Amino acid sequence: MIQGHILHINLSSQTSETIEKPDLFEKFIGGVGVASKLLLDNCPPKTPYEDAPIIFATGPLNMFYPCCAKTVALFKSPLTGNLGESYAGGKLSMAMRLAGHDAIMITGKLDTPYYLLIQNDTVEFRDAHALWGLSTRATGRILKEKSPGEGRRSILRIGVAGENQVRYAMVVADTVRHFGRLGLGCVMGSKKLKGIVITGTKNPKVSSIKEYRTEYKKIHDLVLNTNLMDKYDILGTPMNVLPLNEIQALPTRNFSSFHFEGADGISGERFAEEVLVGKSSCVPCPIGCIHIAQLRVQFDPEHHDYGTIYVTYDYELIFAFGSNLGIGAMDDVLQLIERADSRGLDAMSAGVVLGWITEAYNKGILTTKQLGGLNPRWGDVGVYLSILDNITDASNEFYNVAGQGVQALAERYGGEDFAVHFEGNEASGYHTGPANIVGHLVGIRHSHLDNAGYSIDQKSLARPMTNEKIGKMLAEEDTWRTVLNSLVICLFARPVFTPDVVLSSLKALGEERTSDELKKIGEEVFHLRMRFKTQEGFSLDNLTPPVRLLEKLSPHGQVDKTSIEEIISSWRRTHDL
Amino acid sequence: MFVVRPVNVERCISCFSCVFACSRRSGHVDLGHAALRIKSTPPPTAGGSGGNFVVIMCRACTEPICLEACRYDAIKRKRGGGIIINQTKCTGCGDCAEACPLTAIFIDPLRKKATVCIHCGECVKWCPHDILIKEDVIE
Repeated sequence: MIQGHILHINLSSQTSETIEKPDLFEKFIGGVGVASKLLLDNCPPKTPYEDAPIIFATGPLNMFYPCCAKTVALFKSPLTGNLGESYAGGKLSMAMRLAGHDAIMITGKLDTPYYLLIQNDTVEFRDAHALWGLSTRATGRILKEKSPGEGRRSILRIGVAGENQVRYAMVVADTVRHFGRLGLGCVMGSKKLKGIVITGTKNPKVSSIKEYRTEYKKIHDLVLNTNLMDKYDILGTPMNVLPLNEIQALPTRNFSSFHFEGADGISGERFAEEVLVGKSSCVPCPIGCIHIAQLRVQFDPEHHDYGTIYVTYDYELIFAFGSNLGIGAMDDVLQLIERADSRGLDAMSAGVVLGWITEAYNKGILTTKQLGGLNPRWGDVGVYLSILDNITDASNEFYNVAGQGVQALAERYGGEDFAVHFEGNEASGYHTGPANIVGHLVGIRHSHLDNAGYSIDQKSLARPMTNEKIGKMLAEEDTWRTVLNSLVICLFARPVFTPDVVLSSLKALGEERTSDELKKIGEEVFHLRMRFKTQEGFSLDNLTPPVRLLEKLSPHGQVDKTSIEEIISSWRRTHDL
Repeated sequence: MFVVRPVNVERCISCFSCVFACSRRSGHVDLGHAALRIKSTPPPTAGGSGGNFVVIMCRACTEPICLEACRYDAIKRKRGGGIIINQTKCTGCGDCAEACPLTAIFIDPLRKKATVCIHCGECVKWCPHDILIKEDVIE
């Protein structure tokens, strides 16, 4: 059972206290529900991101059931200037549960670099001067060696991108997972917080071990002994590369085309056959969705010097650093993923930024001089690696702007028509049609995962839907995903966690709720976050879809503004907005 | 009679299904009651991340060295190999874990008791990749 313990860490005073808020968890379930309320209550309007709180929250199912292994982070996004919301797996939700913290709120900021060691109720501020400037990889290794709790801990850290205030810097969680989107790494960097280690030794109780065991078995069987999650277990998300390319929805060369002639070279099948060397999972989850490739790097051809690097890959990264840059070789994609990972950049935003830079350079908007002597060309991995380094190091004025995202680049240098972003968040790897565009436009964090418009588009290819219906489906998906994100299950497991399964899994832990209640909470939490967004200047009345996505054909043909408006208005009616 | 053995550990994804199954068997949802662990190992030659996962559990020695390490007479030989730890006598001092070459005995910091695999086989059925097997032994 969830206790409602919130650990409040004040960086400015280097103190911490545990706040008891069982009522908050009763009212909002946990996860994004509780975090939304905490953010609204603790972040006055227009607070600069470095002064705004960071809130990590888990839900009632975390650690108790398979696939319930995510943690939500809410913060003020440096990239969009609005709501920052990101999810990571790994061992974080387990470690928080073992430490006895259902949520952690970090406020204030430090003057000099530190990392936090949280062991049960104690919070230690450890000097991180010597770690400042190190890669996420080196930092992770050192924190591992220096911290207790092996096997029962989670380690978060930022790279140089976060230190240098790249607005889309990410946070690495347990080596192979990330708080990727919207710039949590930048926020941590601004607070001089290099990392967080959390571990604990608690023994959380369930009300009836017998009921719990039965329910656990049921979910375990649904996860492993049905085909509900095969997609993630076998090829993983990269299985999307070929089908999306087939329907001409795979963004290619900065969204200028949606069919990549080199897709076969970077397909999920190719990765699995040639470079996949292992799988990993979050805890607890028996699906090995984390696909790990081996990258053999040649350093000196004459001396036959090689090194081996292990790199995780997923669909969005293959789009961002593959098709979107005209790169059709797996090793090239892996090198870029590895660079973004170790330097601490969000791969999706970084890939879209690289795409925009290449197109702007080709169109003569940017000069070699501005780019510090580099000449970007589609497919040229060497130049892209250098650009990622330049962005991370903020090496000149141009790269400093590039570190603020494509919206900032377009505002400064022009080229707005091919800056593909939604409210400042770089677009994800789909051009499936109107539901995808509207889903991103209205979505709480302007991400493909808010409401999965891309999936609705693919369904409506087979069986056409009215705009009214699409808007309604997007809104309902927003609400249900808000429930799942309050629990905080992995969205890959959403076919398993139907409303019935959610209710029975809660019941076996002694938490009785009804289906209507869940939906009501989902809607309420959706509105809470909308309130925060409105407070920060977001408005549904002046949404602007990326010009590039309206110009180019989708599998549904050219997406017209009328359709978009109709879907938005149906979505608004459903949400009562 | 059988003992539990990890095989093909290179397939391990570190999902902790076995670890929590072990804990659940004794009526808990924690790590303190679990008698096995998953550990990540560095790659064979380089530093940093990217190694394999390994399962750490009692090998069911027929001549258990941990037996002699216990000062409280809490450890008894188990039929078929391995040991049983008397939870009343155990003080959680950790000498047995120290003596075990695999460190396959775990001290629960909360209870201050040692936990060791009794080779009941519960974990075997939960592994998604058949890494844990039951191996017949002569009593």
